[in-house]
Amino acid sequence: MPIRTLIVDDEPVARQVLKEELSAAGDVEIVGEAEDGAGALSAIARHRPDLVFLDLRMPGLGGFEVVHRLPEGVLPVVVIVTAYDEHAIRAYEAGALDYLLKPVSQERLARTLDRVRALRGRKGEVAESLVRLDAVTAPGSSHVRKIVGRSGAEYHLLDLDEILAFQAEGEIVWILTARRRYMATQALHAIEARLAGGTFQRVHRGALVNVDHVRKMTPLSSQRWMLTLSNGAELTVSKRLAKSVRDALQW
Amino acid sequence: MPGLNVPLIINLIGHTAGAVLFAIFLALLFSRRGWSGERGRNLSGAAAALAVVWNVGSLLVLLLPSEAGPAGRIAVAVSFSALSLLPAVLLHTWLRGAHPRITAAGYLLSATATAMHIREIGAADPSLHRIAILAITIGFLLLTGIAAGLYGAGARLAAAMALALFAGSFIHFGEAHAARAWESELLIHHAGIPLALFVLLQDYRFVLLDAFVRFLANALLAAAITAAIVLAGLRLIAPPVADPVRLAGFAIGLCVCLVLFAWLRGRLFDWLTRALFGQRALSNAAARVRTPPSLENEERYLEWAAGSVAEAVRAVRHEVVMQERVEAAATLRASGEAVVPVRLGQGDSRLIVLGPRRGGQRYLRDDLDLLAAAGGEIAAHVESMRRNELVRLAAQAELRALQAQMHPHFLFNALNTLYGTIPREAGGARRMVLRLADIFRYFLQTEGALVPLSREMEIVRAYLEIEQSRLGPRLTVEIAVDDAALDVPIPVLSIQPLVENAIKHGVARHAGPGYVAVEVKSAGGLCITVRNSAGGDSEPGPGVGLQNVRRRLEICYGTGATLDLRVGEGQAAAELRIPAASAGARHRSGAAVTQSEPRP
Repeated sequence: MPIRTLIVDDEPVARQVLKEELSAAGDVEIVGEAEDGAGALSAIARHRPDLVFLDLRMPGLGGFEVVHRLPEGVLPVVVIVTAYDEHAIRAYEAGALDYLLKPVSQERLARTLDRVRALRGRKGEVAESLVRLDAVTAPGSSHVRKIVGRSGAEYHLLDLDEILAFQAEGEIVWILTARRRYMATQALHAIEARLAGGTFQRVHRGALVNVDHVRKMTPLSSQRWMLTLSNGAELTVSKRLAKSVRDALQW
Repeated sequence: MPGLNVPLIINLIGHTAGAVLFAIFLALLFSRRGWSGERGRNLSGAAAALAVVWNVGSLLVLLLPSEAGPAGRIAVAVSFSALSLLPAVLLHTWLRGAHPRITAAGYLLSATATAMHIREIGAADPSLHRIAILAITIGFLLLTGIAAGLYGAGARLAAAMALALFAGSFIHFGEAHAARAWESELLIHHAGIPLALFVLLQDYRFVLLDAFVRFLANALLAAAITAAIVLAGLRLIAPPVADPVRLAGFAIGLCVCLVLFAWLRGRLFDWLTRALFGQRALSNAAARVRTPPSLENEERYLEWAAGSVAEAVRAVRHEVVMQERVEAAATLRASGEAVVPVRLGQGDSRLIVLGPRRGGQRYLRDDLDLLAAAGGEIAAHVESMRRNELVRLAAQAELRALQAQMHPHFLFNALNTLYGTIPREAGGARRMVLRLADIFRYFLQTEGALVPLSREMEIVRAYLEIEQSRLGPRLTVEIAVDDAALDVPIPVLSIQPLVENAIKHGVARHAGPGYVAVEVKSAGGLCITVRNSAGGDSEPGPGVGLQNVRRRLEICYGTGATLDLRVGEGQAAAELRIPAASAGARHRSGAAVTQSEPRP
């Protein structure tokens, strides 16, 4: 099966160069081209490519914005292509699968393709890398805006604000959204560390709750509380954490 | 206790201790390290000297037989005279010229009393001694009361009370001296010593005060423990009872006392350091100046550091002065109570001048040591700020020049377009564009001042590739690099300019065939040699590139790295020696080794 590839760059010559080099590779099928961010998003939704070469600087939506707005259910491998950008280096360190500096040499591109081939079928890793890439928003700042959830063999990028809670059940950590639940790819303490400083608050040993989705807080006994979430789900707050939960909610 | 004259023993010990203490005090006071200012030393010295004379005189009186004739009488007169003069000097010390009339009255009173004492040398009946002592007691109690009323309360009230008590303790002297027992007054009598000390130490700059007070505390503690042991010993093992159980008990008690002494002494010193000298805040200050808030400017950092040190010692004011202007600053000596030197480099020093401390505390030896340590920390921090600044400047000098004319995005997009418009078949031309992009990217690198040698060599190779396609068969290139050298960090652009120089002034100038040979040897440090063919008129020239290399080497290695240029017959060589990569060199440059191209 060929690698279905989309090339996104505002300069025709730059797209041309990549197209030439990629067509020489043999197992790469160019499914489309886009010259700006909006075009890239619609092309991604239409073609559902395996691989996207993404320029960072484009008129309108930039490369990072495209990553942030990836359509539901599409998890392409994203390779950043840039002329000169410290951003790109930061993105690479943050977990972009690869980045290329223009002009791109044939050998360099071949190495990238090797890496992409090695990643085929490893959707979890691709999803994780997209989450990290998405966290690179501005120079110097990085905060997680999405998290990977699994449902059977499918991986999904979930926006943090649509997540109600994380719940540990033995070895499995469930991600609750309003409609359904997903399996998380990390342990609860790792998720907590990653989301530190955000809207998520530990309520007992096995649950993190998005305080923005808490609708009701009912006292059970002297120190124990019951939380009701926006979808009606109920969670108890442990004695030990009651105070910090109330602080977070400003109850 | 039968057969023992306890008051005599205590008097002997007390006067000996007094004489020794005040002698040590005098010695410390007039030692070179002990004094930080000029005011007040003579008065304090006079008081201490009088105290020595009184104690020694009293000892003599106690030791001489009661009917010793003129010698004994002279000893008595001298001892009493010293004692009578002492309160006047203490009063003077305390008032420090605030109320000259009271001070004068004190001296007059003392002089009168002294005259009376001296008159008694010739007399048979020592009644005048008694009258003089009485006059001193009543007179100084009155003067102290008046002065305290005029001077107001506050920290000095304690001094007034001490002086009054001291004066009060004179009462018993009139009764009898010598070997007569007056057990009840002993306590008051010897209480006078520490209290007088307190007065003495009240107001002047005696730097070794803390050392002295520690010594005093040590001695008093030792005396107390010894007294306890002696008393216990007398009670437990006095003959005729020589019970072995009691003996053993005494021995064990002795050991316990000695252990207790060491422990108590530690606690006492801790307490003195903490409560009396308040030095904990100060030792924190030395640590604090190491981690300042982000202050870019050196002057502002110094000002901040001086402020935080001043705050720690509770100085009422502070000032940062350049070393050169110290002589000019006439007010410095008068206004500054303590001076912290901050040595920033050869012939470049600042002084942090601290005003007097709030609450009447003085700067003691330990304080000065801690302040000096803080000065060292400040200097070290300024040094690291300077280094960082240098590295940043050097790394950005070329960058700014380039960026001012051309935006990097424009440059690389243009190169990319060029690359794209060259047909794929023209592999050589495309390769050149790629190498050019590599070189420019390397020049524009902003992060880090050090790179692995292998990274620099990539650029050297890229550069030589371009030159080779330009010069064709005229240029032969030889490159030999020790494998061990590849990962050694070196300053960015320390070899490429040498190679550029070799082409520009060597090979390119001559029509015939030429060569450039780059050799990197690793033996302890690195030895990098760039050789090239040259004609008779070749000169290395003072190129900007070479100057920059020298500057980078200086920043990263100080004088540890060398760059030698040699022009010989038909060939020229540049030899660069870099010392073994020490952690220090990397630390001082304040930069990490960076690498801009991702490696799979």
